[in-house]
Amino acid sequence: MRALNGIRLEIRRSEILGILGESGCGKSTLAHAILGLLPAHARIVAGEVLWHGRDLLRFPESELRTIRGREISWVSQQPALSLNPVMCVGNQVGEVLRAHVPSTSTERRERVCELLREVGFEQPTTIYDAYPHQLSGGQRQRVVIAQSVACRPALLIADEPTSKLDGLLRSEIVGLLSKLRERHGTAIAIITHDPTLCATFADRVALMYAGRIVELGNSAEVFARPLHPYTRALVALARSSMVAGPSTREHFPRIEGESPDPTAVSIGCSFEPRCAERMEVCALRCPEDVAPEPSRFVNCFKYGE
Amino acid sequence: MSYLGRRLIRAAFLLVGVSILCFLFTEMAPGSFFDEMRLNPQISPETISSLRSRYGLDQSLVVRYGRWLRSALHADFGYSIAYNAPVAPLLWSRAKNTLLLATTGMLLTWLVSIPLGVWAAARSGRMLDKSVRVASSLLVSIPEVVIAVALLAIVVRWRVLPVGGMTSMDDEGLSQWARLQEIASRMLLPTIILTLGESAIIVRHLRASVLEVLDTPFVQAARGLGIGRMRLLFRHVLPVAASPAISLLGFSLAGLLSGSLLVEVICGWPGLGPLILDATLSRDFYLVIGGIMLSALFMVGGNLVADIMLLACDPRIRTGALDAR
Amino acid sequence: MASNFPGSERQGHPLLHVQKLSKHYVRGREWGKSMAVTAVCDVDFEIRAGQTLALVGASGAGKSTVARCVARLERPDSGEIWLDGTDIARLNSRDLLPIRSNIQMIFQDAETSMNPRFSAAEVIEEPLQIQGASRSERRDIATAVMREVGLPAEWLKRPVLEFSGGQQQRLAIARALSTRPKMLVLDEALSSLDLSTQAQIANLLLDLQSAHSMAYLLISHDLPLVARMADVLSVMSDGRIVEMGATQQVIADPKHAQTQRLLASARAAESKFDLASGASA
Repeated sequence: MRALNGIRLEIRRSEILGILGESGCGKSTLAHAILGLLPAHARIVAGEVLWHGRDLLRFPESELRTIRGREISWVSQQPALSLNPVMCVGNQVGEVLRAHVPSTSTERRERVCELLREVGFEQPTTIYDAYPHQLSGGQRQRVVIAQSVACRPALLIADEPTSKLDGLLRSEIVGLLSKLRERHGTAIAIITHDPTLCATFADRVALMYAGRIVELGNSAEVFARPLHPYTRALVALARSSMVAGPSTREHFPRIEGESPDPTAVSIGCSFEPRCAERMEVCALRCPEDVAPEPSRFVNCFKYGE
Repeated sequence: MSYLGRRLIRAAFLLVGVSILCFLFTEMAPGSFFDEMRLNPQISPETISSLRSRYGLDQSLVVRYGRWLRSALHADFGYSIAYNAPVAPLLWSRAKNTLLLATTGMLLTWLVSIPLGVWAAARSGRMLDKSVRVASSLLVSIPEVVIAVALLAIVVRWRVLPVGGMTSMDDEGLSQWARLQEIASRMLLPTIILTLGESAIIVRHLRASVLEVLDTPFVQAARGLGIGRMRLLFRHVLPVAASPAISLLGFSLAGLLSGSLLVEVICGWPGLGPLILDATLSRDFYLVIGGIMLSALFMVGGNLVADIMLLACDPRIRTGALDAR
Repeated sequence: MASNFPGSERQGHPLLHVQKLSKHYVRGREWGKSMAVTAVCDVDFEIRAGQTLALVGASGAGKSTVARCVARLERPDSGEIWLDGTDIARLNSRDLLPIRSNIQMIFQDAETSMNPRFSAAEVIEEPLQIQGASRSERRDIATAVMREVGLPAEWLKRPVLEFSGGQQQRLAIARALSTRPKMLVLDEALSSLDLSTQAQIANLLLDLQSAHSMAYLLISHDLPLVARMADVLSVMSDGRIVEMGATQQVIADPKHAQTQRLLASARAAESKFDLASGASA
C-alpha cells in the first residue's frame, strides 16, 4: 500500500506549520520519513528530504543520529508512553544532551535544570529526580518537550502533542510551544487532526488526505476561504463544534462516507467518493496542484488544471 | 524499607512451612536407617531399639519436630546417624563447595546471557539471532544429564581437563596459587555444564523481553532524539527488559543448586550433591532434612537477591506504585 | 430531595439515581501505612430514560471513577446506585449478571476493549451468550445491531483488527446495544476519534438515543461535544461535583470557578479560530 504520494512541502525558518489530517492519512508516516524512523518494512520509492540543501534520505544511520535530537527533534504522540519508566526524568533529558554535546555530568545536570525551568517547572531539582509515573500527564508532556528542545533544534516535529490532553492542559502546552518558538526561533511542524489547533497556532497549514497534500496555504487564508471541498467540510465541522453555537441534540454536520481505505488504489481523486462537488473528471484521473493565489495551492479540478 | 521487611517475614514463614512438610514427607517415606541392621543376625533387636531411642527416633513426630526446631535454633539442625555428628557443620563443609560452583555458574550465566540476549534481540531475524535461537532451544530440550555425561566423555577421552574432586590427592606441597589453579581447572567442566543449561533459558527470556521493549513508544522517542545504539540498548532498554529476567533469577538460583547437585555427582565435585544422595539412600533422616532446608534457604535467598535487584531496577516498586495495582 | 435535580421536572422516576457515591484508592505504602487517595467523594446525580448527563472536568477529577462505579466495574466504598429500582452498589458479581444487560459501557479505546482476533459476530454475540440466548437469536440480534450502527451485516465474519478506528467504535456500540440496555456509560468514548468520525458517531448516538430512549452517562473533557449531546452538565473537580445544571444554562452562566476555567480555555481556542476563519463569514 502507498502511504504517501507526491508530498511537496517546505518548512521555513522559525515558522509554525500545521499538518492537518484524519488518522491514517499518512501524516505520522511523513514525520517518520523525515526523521528516518520508518519501520523496517517501509520503502521510500522516490523523493528527497532536503535539510540545508542535503538529502536526509541518503544519510547513513550514524550521521542521521547526529541530526536527530540536535537539529531536528520531535515530540511523540503519547507523552505517557514516550518516557522510560525506570529512569528519572532529569536523566532522560540529560541523555539527549549526552548524545550530542560533550559535557560533564555536573554541567549536564545544571543545563537540565535550566531546561526544566524553561518548560515551566518551578522546582526543577525536585522534578529532576522524579520518575514518569509520579508525574501527571501534563507534566510528562513538559518533560518530553524539554527533551526535544534540549539541544536547541532548528526544527521541532510535534506529532499530536495535545490529542490525549484535556482542554486546560492543551492550551498550556500550546502556549509553551509558542513561547519556545518566540524565544529561540525554532520552527515547529505540528501534526494534528484538530482544525482549531491549526487555526490558532499555525502560520501555515497543509491539509492531508489519503497520503496527499490537498491544500496548503497561510492558515488565516485557508480557514477563512477554504478551497478544497474536504477543507470546506472540515472547517464547517470545526465551526459547528463550538461550545456556544448549537442547541442540545442538534446533529453535527457530517462529511459523508468513511475515511479512505489506505490499501485501496483509486485512479481518480481520493476524496471523490465523499465529495459533495464531484465532477465527471474526478473519478478518471488525479488532479494536479493548482495555485489560484500566489501563496497557496490546492489539489482539485475545480480550480483549473 | 518496608517492602523488603515484608519479603523477609514471608521468607521466614516459608522456611518453617518447608520444614514441617519435610518432616511429614520423610515420615511417610518407607524404610529407616536401621532397616539394614535388622537384617544382620549379629545385631540384636534390643541394640537397634536402644539406638533408635538414642537418636530419638522412637518419639512422636511432633516431639521430634520440636527437638529439631530447638537444635535448628542452635544452628545444629539435628544429628546425622551415619556420620555420628551434628548436621550443620557436615553440610556447611560441603555447601561451601556447592556455593562456589553455583555462584560461579550463575555469574557466568549472566555474563553470557545478557549480551547474547540483547544482541540477538537487536538483530532479530539475522543470522546471529537465528543461531542463538536454534542453539538455545536445543540446549533447553536436551536433559542436563545428557549434556553433562557427553561433555564428561569428551573431556575424559581427550584428557583436556582434570576431572573429579576439587584438587588432586597430592596437593599438600602446592603453593596457594597453584592450588587455586588446580581448583579452577577442576571446576571448569561442572561450571560449563551448569552455564549451558541455565543461559539457554535466560537468553530466550531476555531476548523476548528486549524485543518487546524495543517496540515501545519510549524507545522510538529515544531514537528520534538521537540516542546512540549501544547506549539505547544497554542503558535505556535493558533495565526495563531485565525485570522479568530478574524475577527468573530467584528460581534460576534454586535451579542452579538442584542442577549442581546432579552435576556434582556426575563430575565427582565434593559438594552437597554426593552427600545428600548418600544420605537419602541410607535414609539418614536429619541429614536429608538438613539438605532440603539448605536448598530451600538458597531458593529463598535467591528470591531475596532478585527482589533487591528489582528494587534497584524499577522505581515503580520502590515508590509502591506497582503495589497499588 | 430528588426534585431538586435539574431536569427532574419531567415525568417519571429516574432510571439511574446515584447518592453519596464515594471511592478511595490505596496508592502506595509508606512504612507500612497505606495512603488512601480520595477519587470520588459524595457524588449525587440522577438520569432519566432518554436523557444524557455529562460529567466534565480536568483529568484526574474523578470522572472515570464515577463511570466505572456506575457500570460496576468497581465497587464503590459507600453510597447507593439505584438502577431501575435496584441498588446495585453492593451487589456481588453473580447478582450483577442480570443487571449487566441493562447497563453497558463504551471505552475510549475500542481497539483495546475488544479481542482483535475475534470476529465482529463473536464480539457482539458474547454478552448474549452469557445471557443465555440461543444461536439463531444471537445471529438475528447481531445482524440487527450491525445495521443500526451503520455497518454492513456481511462484515460480521471479519476479525476486529480489520476494522478502522471509527468502525471499531461502531462495533463497540453494536456490542453494547446487543443486550438492549437502558443505559450506556460513555467513558471518553469519542475522544480519540478524528473530528469527522467523532461527528458521525455522535450523530449515531443521538439517533440511537431517540430510537430506544436510552439514558447516557457521558464522560468527556470535550465541551463542544457535551454542549450538543447532554441535557444536564455536571462539572467535577477533585472528586466532587462542583456545579450541575441544564447544559445551556451552565454554559451561558457558569457559577463555579472550575467551570469558568474550563469554558474559558475552550472559548479561547475558538475565538482565535473565529478570527482566523471569520474574515469572510
